[in-house]
Amino acid sequence: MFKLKNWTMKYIYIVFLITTFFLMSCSTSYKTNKHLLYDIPNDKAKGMIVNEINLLKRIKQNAFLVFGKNKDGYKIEIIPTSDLKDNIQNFKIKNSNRMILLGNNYYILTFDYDYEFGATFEKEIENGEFIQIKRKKMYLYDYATSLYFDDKWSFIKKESLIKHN
Amino acid sequence: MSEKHFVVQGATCKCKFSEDPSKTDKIKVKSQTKHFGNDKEGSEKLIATTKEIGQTLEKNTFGKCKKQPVGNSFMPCQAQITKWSGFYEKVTLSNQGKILLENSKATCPMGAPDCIEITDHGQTAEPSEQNFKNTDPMVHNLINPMVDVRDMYGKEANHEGITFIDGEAINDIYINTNDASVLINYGKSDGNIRMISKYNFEELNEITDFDQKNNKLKEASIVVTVDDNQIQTKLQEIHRLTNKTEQQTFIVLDRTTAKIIAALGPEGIDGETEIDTYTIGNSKPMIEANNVKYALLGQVHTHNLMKSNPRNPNQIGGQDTIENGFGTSEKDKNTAKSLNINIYALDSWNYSNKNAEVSIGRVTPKGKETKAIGKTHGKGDGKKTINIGMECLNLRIGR
Repeated sequence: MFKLKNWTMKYIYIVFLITTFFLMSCSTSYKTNKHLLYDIPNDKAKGMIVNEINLLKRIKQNAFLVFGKNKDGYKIEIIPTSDLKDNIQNFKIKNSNRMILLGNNYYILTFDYDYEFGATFEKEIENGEFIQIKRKKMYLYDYATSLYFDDKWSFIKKESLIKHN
Repeated sequence: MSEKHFVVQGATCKCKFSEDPSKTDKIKVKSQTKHFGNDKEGSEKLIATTKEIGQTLEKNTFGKCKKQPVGNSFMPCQAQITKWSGFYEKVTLSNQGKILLENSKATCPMGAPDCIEITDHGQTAEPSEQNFKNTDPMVHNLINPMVDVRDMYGKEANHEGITFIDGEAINDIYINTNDASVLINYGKSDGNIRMISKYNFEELNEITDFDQKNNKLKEASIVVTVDDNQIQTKLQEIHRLTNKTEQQTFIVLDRTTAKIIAALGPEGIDGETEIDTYTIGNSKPMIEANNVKYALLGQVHTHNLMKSNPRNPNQIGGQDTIENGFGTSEKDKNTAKSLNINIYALDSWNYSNKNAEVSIGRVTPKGKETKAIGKTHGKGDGKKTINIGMECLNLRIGR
């Protein structure tokens, strides 16, 4: 009886460990069924992004991406982060349902105009009157690296405050 | 970025309902005789305003009007302007009119709203290099707000683009108590900057006698000053607080004292800070710090020392070390542009001494990054400080 109980506990413990492992290590993968997947149609550009992500992972464990488009082409920002959920309460990241597969990993993706247009609205009393105020958060990610590509995904330049030696 | 010229006497306009689209007429400024714009030839032309109403064109006709058919033809046009749109809102001249811009449009009751448009602003040529050098940047900003001549030429001169009659202008620059937006800036370089509520300003601006208006506005307002000592102390404080996280302070207008001060902002995390702004309608951005609301004029944050893991021994290629860089980041630049304020970064990562004179980087809303524009005051006696409060105030009022 004791052995059985011990075996059952071990079994539960192993199942718990396996489940926890998958939830933690593949936390992005298991969500992909209900997420929007994006792709960059150029392997060389993807390789450059992966290299930058690997470099930035020496500062923080994870990263997310911000995609932008301008008249010259594309801008890919790579933002290193220690924990996506602690990213200064950045609801745009936590709630993003967009992902991209780079190498063997999925990364959360947002667009630059999410920041430009994203806002919350509140009603407050000022001088005795109800007024609607618009709140907007600006995030200064100082470890971010931006890669610029033209419309054909040829590399243009890299912008980063981080020095590489 | 395209320039927006102001419209002067002789500006050409056309009506989209003219049977002959090539028919044009010229504006004859009748509403005022005091405010002039200089053109390349040096002659003076009266500035056209929203008070150019009625029959204010030279010929007052654009030929035949397609809106008035008669038989197989159309009735002759009798141009009658009832109102203007697309003018420069921020300046009111002594005739109570607003300055017309080259993209302003007029309404004629026979046509449709905005049926008359400016095809030539009336200034004889594009400004030459000498024009820019001779232009007072503040006045230029007033009449050509899309262009900052200081970006083109560093040297400022005293030449004025608008001629004022003494006693017929508002002497000082007035900014809104709530968001520090400019309520009026006539471009007088010797005036004070004053803080007033928008409600009071609009009420007192109705007074037509300029002496009385100036006096009443002064009574209802407070002169804006910069508390540079307080700001310098706060800059050193955020450096002192910086360890593993970034710290920040906002450069703000204190609504009660009309002082430009620094207000401590929320602590960031390693390599990141956030600015939580709010706006009301089309206001300039405002912030709340320690439960007090302020107009936001600038932001200063520290860059903490980056901690990086060693290079993966299995990695092929790539760099051995990664470390902090001096100055502002790409995201600082985007934020400066988005909020239209200067963003400053302290290179705190480079100074372990909390009383060090820390180098400061700056990025402007136009994206111009400058490293080491000055230093913090260290123990309090540093000689390389920079008056960030004044810089931010000048940026706001276009000085």
